[in-house]
Amino acid sequence: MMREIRYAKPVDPFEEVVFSRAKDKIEFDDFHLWYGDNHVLRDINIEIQSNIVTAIMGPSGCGKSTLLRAINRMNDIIPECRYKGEIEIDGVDINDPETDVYELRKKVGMVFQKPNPFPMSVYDNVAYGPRLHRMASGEELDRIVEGSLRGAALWEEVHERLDDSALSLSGGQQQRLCIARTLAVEPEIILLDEPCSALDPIATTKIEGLMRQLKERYTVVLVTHNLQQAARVSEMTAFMYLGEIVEFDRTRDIFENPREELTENYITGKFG
Amino acid sequence: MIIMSRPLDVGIDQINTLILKMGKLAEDSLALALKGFFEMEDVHVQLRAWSNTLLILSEEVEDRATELMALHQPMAGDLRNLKAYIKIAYDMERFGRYALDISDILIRLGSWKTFDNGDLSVDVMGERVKQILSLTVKLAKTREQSLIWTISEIESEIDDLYLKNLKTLGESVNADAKTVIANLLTIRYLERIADHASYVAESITYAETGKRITLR
Amino acid sequence: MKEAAKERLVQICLYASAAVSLMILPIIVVWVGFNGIGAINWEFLTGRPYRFEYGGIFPQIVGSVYLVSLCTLLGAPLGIASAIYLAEYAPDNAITSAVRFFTETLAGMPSIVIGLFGLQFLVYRLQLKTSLLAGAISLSFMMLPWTIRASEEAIKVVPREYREASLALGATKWQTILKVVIPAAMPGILTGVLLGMGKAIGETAVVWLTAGSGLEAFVPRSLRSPTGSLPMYIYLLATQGHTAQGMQNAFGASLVLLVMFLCMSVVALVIRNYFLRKLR
Repeated sequence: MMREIRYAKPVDPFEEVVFSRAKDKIEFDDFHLWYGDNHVLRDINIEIQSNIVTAIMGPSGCGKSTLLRAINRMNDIIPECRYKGEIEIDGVDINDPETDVYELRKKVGMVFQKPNPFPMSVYDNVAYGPRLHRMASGEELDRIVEGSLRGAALWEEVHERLDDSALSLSGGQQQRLCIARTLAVEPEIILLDEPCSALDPIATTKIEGLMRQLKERYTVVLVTHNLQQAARVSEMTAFMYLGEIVEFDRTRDIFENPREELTENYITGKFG
Repeated sequence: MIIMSRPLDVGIDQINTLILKMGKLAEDSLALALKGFFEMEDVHVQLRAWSNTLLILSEEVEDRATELMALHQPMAGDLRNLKAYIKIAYDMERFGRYALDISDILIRLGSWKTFDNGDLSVDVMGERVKQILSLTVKLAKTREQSLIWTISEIESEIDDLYLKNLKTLGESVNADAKTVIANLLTIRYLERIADHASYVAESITYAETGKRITLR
Repeated sequence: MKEAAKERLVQICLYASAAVSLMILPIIVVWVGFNGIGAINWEFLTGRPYRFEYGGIFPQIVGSVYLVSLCTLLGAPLGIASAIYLAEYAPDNAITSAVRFFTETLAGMPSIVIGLFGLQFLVYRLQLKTSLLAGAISLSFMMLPWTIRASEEAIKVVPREYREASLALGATKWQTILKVVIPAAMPGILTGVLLGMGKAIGETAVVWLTAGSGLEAFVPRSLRSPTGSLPMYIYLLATQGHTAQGMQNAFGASLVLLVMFLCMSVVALVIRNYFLRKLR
């Protein structure tokens, strides 16, 4: 008599709570993108959910940054860029000619690889967005600035130096300032393009902690080449290779038991 | 570009070697324990030595595996393998322990009379357990997933034999207390060895495929 | 010759060349200072010229200031706007290359040619007459390429990261330029403008043909009236003066002009450093 072989899949109750709050936010529908003749993004079909951190990883040149930048249409700046297919945020196609790209970029904030605060004071940096969009002035602006700096876990360190030049801050502080600057325009989605790659390990840890906090209120999408960071910080992970999404699944599953051999080879460092 | 040899690979290979070494020791221990039981021979000194070796080796596997995890932050297949090795090392140590326990029966009780009722099949059970252990060690070496089915069958058989022997012993009226106790303890230890052998097989399946299965 | 000795010889030659070059500015300043200091007094600075080589240079000082100011008012915005266009909006094609080429060529054009153009076109054809206006416009032609060149350079040097950050916050291209790029490029732009002004204040050939005789005894009353200027005054007195007093007055005016020029250079430096500190 042969016994039955049963298959058990572990369920993480803490993670289930997180996922229960997540809703579909960004949807890629048959999306392709070219730089000139270069087919950079191929047939992207994924849904990114709110209130979780989604990591996108892959070897250099796989298109992960381009994918990220498609969400706030920063690729539009490059003249030879064309695309096909749809990207919907809350059900609305952002590539539609009727879309206000400037409103889109207010709703979808971006933090870059190298911290890039403006050569202005800390206060002016954070206030730049709200002033630009005429969101507030005077005391209300002060409140927004403080709120954003608190949201970026930077208030305690700079609240007495708001008029100092932003360039006098350390690298990690500058990056958190850039996050505060993004938060000040009240986005719904925050895109981070390798935010820690120019930072030391301690600053990196702080930013990772911040990302975990940010997902409570925002949709967070992270591009990283650091596998351990993706594993530490995200709930969902996408693995890209040569412009395609090879695998997109729960982070725990991708790092414990990926379905594709390509993913496994990448994760275990058999190619980079 | 595929880079085949990583620093992690060296470490994993070393652990694998240790595990296979432990497997051989486990098989030898079981064989000797059963011989000692059926021939009423005192083999506990040798088995104690082998049991200690297995303990040391299992701790070494655990140390190395955790060190590799801390230093190299392995993922996917590598991580599963290391997790599995730690569990398997513990199971291997248990094999040595149970084999020692079988040989200790003679020391504790002194000799006993053979059970005269023909329904008792401790020897068959012994053979089956040797078989399942051997298959498990083979699985650890070759990672052939097809062996799982055979192992599952034999596990099933051993379970049946255990229950049958238990019943036989329980219902015996003529037998000496010492005889009953000696046989009871032995079938108990054999059943445990078989269980741990199936745990090892489950761990290896997890390492290879990422699926968690139960063979019982 | 041994290598060490060759090395030493080269060093000596280089030091000597540098010394000669560096001495030129101080020598000129000191020479002019010595020769001109005698003419400097309150009457000289506030009086008017009469009988050719007597009197003061007040109208000339005012004339130069007016000329340079008006020229900057006309030339700087035009130059900066052109620089913004070239740096930010111009497509990478033959037309843009042509525009750049024209600008560069204008920078090197002989000033007498510009003066002649000013005379023929502005003074006669447009009937602006020899005047403050004609002079200022002609001077702005001279100033333009310098301003464009310095401003375009300053704008280009502003890191791409600032623009990206601004766009990512929802700003339009123009908002980004106005609020981030220009402020960041300010030191370079201002330096360019001030350098242009420095060139304009000492420009003789152009004002000779378009601005006025140079010996006007009155401050220009309107844009259409002719205006005196220091360079003209110095030229006339130095070449056609008969008396020692005349020569001394020429040197005195030179000293005043030199002082004004040096002040502008210093102001340029101070402003540049102020902005650089702000951006750091």
